[in-house]
Amino acid sequence: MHDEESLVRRAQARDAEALNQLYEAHFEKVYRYVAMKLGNAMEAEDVTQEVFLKALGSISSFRWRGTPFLAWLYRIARNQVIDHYRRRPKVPPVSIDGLQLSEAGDPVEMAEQKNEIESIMRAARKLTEAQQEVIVLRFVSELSIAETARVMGRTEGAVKALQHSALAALRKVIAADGK
Amino acid sequence: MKESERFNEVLEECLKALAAGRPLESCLEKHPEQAEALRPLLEAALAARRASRLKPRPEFRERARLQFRSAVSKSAAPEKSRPFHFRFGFAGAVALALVVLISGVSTVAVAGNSMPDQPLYPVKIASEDTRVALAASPIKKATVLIRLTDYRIEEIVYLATKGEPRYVDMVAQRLGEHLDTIIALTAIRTNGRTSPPAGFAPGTPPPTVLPAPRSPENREQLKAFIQQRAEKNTAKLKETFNLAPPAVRPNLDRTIIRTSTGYQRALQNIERIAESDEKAPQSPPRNTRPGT
Repeated sequence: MHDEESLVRRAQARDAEALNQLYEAHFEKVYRYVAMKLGNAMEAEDVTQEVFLKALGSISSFRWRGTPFLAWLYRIARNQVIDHYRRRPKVPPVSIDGLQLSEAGDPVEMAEQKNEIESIMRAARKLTEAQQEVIVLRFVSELSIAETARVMGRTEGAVKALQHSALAALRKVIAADGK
Repeated sequence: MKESERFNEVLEECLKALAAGRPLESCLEKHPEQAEALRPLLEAALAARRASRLKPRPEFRERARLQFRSAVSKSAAPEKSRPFHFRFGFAGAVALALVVLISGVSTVAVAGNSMPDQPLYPVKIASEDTRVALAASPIKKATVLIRLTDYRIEEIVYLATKGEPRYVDMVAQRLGEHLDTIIALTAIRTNGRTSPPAGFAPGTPPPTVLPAPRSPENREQLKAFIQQRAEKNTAKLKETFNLAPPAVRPNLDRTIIRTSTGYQRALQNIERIAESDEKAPQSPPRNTRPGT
């Protein structure tokens, strides 16, 4: 954590190497978060770029209080997703065309996995905003309860309760969609 | 602790076990009294976790990286002193040398022909940055940058023909940065007829150990070079505009104006300095001793 703190401080001093390191460390996670929130690969690309340009412009406002830098990026990403919906009120269809999977298996297996992911994205859209957020942060972004609590501005106990209700809701939607 | 809180603790314990790669059944066996309630939740978590395998397209990753780095270079801290600047140039050269050693000279050579939508493009950009950093004088730096504008034009032509407006804009942005630097470099006086360095009385020729002045011939050569590239590259862009798909024409139009203006401003700088040098009183060349 200390390393990240010094990296962030260098980035705040406009050190290009530090800025690039932070970008490389978090790019994929932010992209995944945005893709899950938007459910559309092409739109996720535009918004992810906006997130990092926004972060670059406002990095000096970041205050180190033990909160990981990624949590700050997620907050920007969340706001960018909201702005994106405001600009384009018509929700785009769930589409993972153009999305990649980290492990390239055989084509049939990959097609199945893409279908599964598409159905998860579709199901996640039917949850409340908070439920969707906790599912993405905990299981897609793989944050701990403590980190999720910091991003969401809630207590750890509240996140655990929300996680429970979100998983129950997700299970219900997946089951209903599968019928 | 309430019953619901206790359950949430058990759920979290099982989720951690799943994240660590343990099978779902092992946690259910550990908590048989809650197994029925836990199973559907853990299955939903496993389903959601599959989305963690999502990755951005490599082409998008490259494009986004290029855009971010370009934005970083624009906002990066200004270089404060010559040694600091030199250190960066040297670091770049060492980095490139490592790339060459590790991956072979052929990688850099092949990268030299790569286009922005190809994997080796960042190597090409890195080697170009190193060439600029290692150029010893403003004129040499400007000459390297003018050659780089040729590469950017080739890339824009390639991308425009493919109908990629976003890529065209990104490369045009880098082209604009090259031109801005060329404009700044050509505004630097390069004729060596400024006041002698501190420690010498006015009019006293300094000793021969001082670096040789840059001759006006170099300036004239630079001017001719810029004129030639300006004509050729602007014509190339205009020709591409006529053949390009409509989607990229507005981007090309902006690029043509920007490029033509950039070259013209650099030429004006050179002419302005030449004029002021002609008006200024002559002094002996700095590397010639009296009587030699």
